[in-house]
Amino acid sequence: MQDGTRTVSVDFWRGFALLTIFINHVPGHALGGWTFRNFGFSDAAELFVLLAGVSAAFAYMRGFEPGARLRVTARIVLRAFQLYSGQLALLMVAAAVVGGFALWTGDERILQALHLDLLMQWPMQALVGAAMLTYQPAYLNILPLYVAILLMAPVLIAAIRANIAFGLALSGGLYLLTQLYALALPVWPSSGTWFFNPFAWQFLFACGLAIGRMMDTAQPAPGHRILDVVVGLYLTASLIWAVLGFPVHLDLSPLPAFLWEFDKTNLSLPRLAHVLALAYAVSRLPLENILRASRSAQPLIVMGRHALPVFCVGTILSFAAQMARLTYDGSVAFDLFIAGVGITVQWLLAWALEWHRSGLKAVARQRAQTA
Amino acid sequence: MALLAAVPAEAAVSRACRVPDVYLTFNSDLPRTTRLIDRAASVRVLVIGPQMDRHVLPPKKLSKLTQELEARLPGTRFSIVEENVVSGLAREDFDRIREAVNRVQPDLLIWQVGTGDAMAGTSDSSFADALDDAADWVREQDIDLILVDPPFLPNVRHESRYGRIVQQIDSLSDKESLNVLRQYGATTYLFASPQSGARGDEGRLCLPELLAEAILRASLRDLK
Repeated sequence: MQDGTRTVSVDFWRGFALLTIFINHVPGHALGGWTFRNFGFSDAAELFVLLAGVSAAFAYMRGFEPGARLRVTARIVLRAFQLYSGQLALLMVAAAVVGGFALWTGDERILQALHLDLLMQWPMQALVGAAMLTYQPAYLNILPLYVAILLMAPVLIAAIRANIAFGLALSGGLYLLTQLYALALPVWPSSGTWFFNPFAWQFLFACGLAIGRMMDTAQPAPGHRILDVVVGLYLTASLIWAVLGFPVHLDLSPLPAFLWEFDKTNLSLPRLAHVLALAYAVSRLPLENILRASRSAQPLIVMGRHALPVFCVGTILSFAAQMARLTYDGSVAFDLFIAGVGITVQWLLAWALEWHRSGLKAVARQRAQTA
Repeated sequence: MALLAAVPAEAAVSRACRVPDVYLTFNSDLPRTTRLIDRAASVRVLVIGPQMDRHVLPPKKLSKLTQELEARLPGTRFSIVEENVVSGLAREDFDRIREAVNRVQPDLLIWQVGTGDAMAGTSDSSFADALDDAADWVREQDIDLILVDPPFLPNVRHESRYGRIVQQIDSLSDKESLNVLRQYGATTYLFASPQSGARGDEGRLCLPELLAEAILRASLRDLK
């Protein structure tokens, strides 16, 4: 079940991010205090988007050459459409799970808390909003971000493929404009803005593209002793700050807030720097060979390889887990049981998909030999 | 002063939503809001939490809260910005509130809090600490704050989860003199009251009216 040329560490960390998102999407879960967001400024969402950029570089950048750009762009748009369809399906199933629980218990407050009440209050507006990706109930806001970023991806890929520094400058420029001029996409029919601002988060995706480009063209990873020290100090400081529970609310006005706030919506600089520092630190370790040789890493690798279906099923399971915890007044043992069931189901799904894919590959190989 | 003096001492609450005065009285003043009302300046209100309106088409919407406030305080314009939050957990809402406050620059913040923490089973101390931190920060920004606790619903097996969170909000409000619109108590009263026309979950629809009335009373009290 392992492709010899594929970089398994990307799949591994993506699998890790998926499981972390699953746990983080069950608020109050006993393991929620142990996911890595408790030990630094960034969380699994940042990791997921960075790795999405790396994967997109592997998938699209090499082929994005003159003459093939339109075809690759079509592939990217098709992928965005798959994610869009996934978002619509997720919304429907999440509404069924939470709505069913609300009907059973008579507790409509959970619909309000998860913003699914709009489906009852303004069904037609909610449907239109869902189709436009402007209706984003709680925990259903990552795929719209990914769709929006993928629609920007052809430009980012072309720029980074031409020159990594130019591509990053272009993307970083949009990031800066977003922070300084509060560019944002509105939500509707409720009010406010997208929880993940794609104009800001595209920069992290572009960083992933740059990393992927460097890996794909076998450029040496950046490494320097001074950088090692700076990254080490930053990760240690953020660890202490997070473990202490962000003890002081810094206000460095009149400096722009994105430089010192921990705002997730607009991916403030401390969060961005933290996930990049983590990526740098991990890149200094010889993980690829260890992960390739390790049997215990295989479940995460396989989950990371089938990220979209695993993410969708994990999201539905996390909604179900929230409801189950309300009914059974979650003890630690019950939380561990929920986590065990959820992780097993996601792994089995990934394993089944991998098994299906290996079968298809074997058939294709056989046909090629016969021919 | 003249504007507030012209306002009736107690504007009427509709019969369906009438509750005892205790549910319409805040622990402390709303100095910034009162000052703006008294000068007939516009008041910018940031509402964090679920939508308060129902069956109102968004494009035509003049929020119920705006209508109720402007009916009671005709000389003042209220501009209301509603923001949904993701998890509804006080700790995570606070992050979103800081970002929204920077963006919206409100005079008054109305925060519907507690439902997410009740669902998550957040520990008492953790919830109280998060609320306390957020209230301190809002105070430092010189913004008036009104907390709104969750509504009551009858015949829900896990209702005790909400009751526990409401108790936490109450005790912190007593300790720190926070302004709380006691929606849980008000909707419990409305459900039990034989003359009420707003029973059970429908009691939540009284929220804009109760909020407007409580804000009016706090403003009048400030000037006495």
